[in-house]
Amino acid sequence: MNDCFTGVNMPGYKNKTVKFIDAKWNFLNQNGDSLFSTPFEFAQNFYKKTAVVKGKDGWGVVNSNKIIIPLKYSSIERIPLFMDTLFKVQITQKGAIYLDTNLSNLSYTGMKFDKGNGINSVFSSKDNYRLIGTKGNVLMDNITNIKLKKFNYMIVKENKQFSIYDVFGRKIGESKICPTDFIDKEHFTYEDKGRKGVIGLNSDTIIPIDYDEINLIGTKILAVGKKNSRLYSANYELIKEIVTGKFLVDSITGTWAISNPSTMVMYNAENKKIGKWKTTEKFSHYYANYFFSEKGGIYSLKGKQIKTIVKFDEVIFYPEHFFSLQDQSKKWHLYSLDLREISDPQLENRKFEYHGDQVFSVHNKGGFTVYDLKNDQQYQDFTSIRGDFTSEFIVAEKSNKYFFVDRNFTDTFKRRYQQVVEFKNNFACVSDGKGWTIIGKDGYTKKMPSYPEIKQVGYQLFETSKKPLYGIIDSNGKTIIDPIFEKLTILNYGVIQAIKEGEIYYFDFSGNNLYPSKNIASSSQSLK
Amino acid sequence: MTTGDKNTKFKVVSIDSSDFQQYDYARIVHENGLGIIDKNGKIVNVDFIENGNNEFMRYCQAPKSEIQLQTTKNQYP
Repeated sequence: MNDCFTGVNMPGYKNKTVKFIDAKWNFLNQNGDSLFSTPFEFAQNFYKKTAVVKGKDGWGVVNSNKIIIPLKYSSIERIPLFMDTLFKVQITQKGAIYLDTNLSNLSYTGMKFDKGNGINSVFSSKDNYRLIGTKGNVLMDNITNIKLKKFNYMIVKENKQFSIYDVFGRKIGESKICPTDFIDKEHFTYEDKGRKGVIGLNSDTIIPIDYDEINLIGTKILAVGKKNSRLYSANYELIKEIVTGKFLVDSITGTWAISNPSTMVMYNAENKKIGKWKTTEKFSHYYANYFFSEKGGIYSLKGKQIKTIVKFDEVIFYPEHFFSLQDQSKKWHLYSLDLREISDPQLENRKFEYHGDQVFSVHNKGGFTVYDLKNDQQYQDFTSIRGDFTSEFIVAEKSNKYFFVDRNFTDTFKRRYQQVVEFKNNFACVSDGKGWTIIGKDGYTKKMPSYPEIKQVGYQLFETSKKPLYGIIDSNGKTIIDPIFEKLTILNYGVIQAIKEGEIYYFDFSGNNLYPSKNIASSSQSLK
Repeated sequence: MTTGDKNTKFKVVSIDSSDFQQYDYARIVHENGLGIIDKNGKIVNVDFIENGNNEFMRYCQAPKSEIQLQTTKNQYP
């Protein structure tokens, strides 16, 4: 309701205005009497026979006798050339709408997107949750709540039990205990008072509830507790239990070790002891047959120190055998598994971002660097990049404009955007600064960029806020163009261009539909 | 006054003397602010009144006002 000007110009101050607070506005007739018995919250001055005014419910138009356009619109604007006769009215709509890949409306009446797992989407209303599949089909309805878990599993509380459903909405198990997370497709962790255990889908207790952390590392399951730690195979066969020292598991090779204060005992992937060496070092990580000591030393399987890298606070291992670490001066370094530092050690690098397929990027004090390690290339002419090459394209930024590049860092679509959201499920959301739309992997827009911000909330399911709607009413209060259009533009040659759901219509100033001459109805679809 | 009586109730700082030729009131600035004086000398205090000549003159009464940055366009400059 604040789209209209509600101040008074200050002579000599172009950008400033006087606002009267809690004001009562009215008009004097020539006799000096007030025109209206009830004053307005704001009034613009009379232009010829009419004035635009604001009441408590919105904007309207009055003449000297009465209200001619009801005071209910979120804004009213006089149309140039027809200042005294035509008014563009705006209706603000609250809430969100949901769109498919053609940006056609999906009517999830009264329901709001709640959460999704990239495949299924949960919509909720005040007292109902509904699960929607990838084709807009209802998988479950009238449920009290639903939790989305790994492997696209879903947990629903039913009859005082927790039912577990797969991605297709098929019930695959139930438990009296609420699953916290799934370790694999058959087993889940559960928690009580900060302690964790593992239960199978058949309700058998696999790991007792006695551990602080339970994680799958490569092909081993490691349970770490205060009193003891256990190492299990992927089949949940207990391999080893220890009460002192700690397990170090290599997720790449499947080998593992027990690190004690003075010794390191090594086991192969088949759990046979393969060696032992003495050490006073403390080790924090074991990865790709390297032991990482807390002091920054890297040791071989035989306990020989191969290299000293910087003493680090945090280390991150990436796929395809790279790792980065943060040194104690908070600078990040990127290494390959031949222990060569890829990044420039002199640069004050922030945390590295991994974009898939051996591409890393990092912001540093001097700028921004992209490392394409597969093609042995470096790029420093981007302001930023984001996204992951698993979706084929990533987003690059130059001169405050965004565009999509392929794996060769080629500007694929040769189009620049004001804002973009990366490709997901073959679609990306883009804005040209005037409005949002979506594009496919051919780079073509699905409809004109006339939407408020669009987000892909579920699998090829888009959410946007309801747009304000515009129409035209004349000074007799007669509706010339119904307020159902998302955009109304007065073209120079006396034609009105109107956009509704991405379709363009043309009208004359009498409201006659010039082109296309068809029934302007909503293209909303209902849920199947 | 249009009655020929002399105003002794308040001090007028300025008056739009042409107003009484068109309207049955005149816009004035008096010692306490803006006002409208009718042909009988009755004064109504206002916080804003439109300038220039208009058949229907807008005015407002407000307990307070403030200066703000202009964020929306005024169609009537």
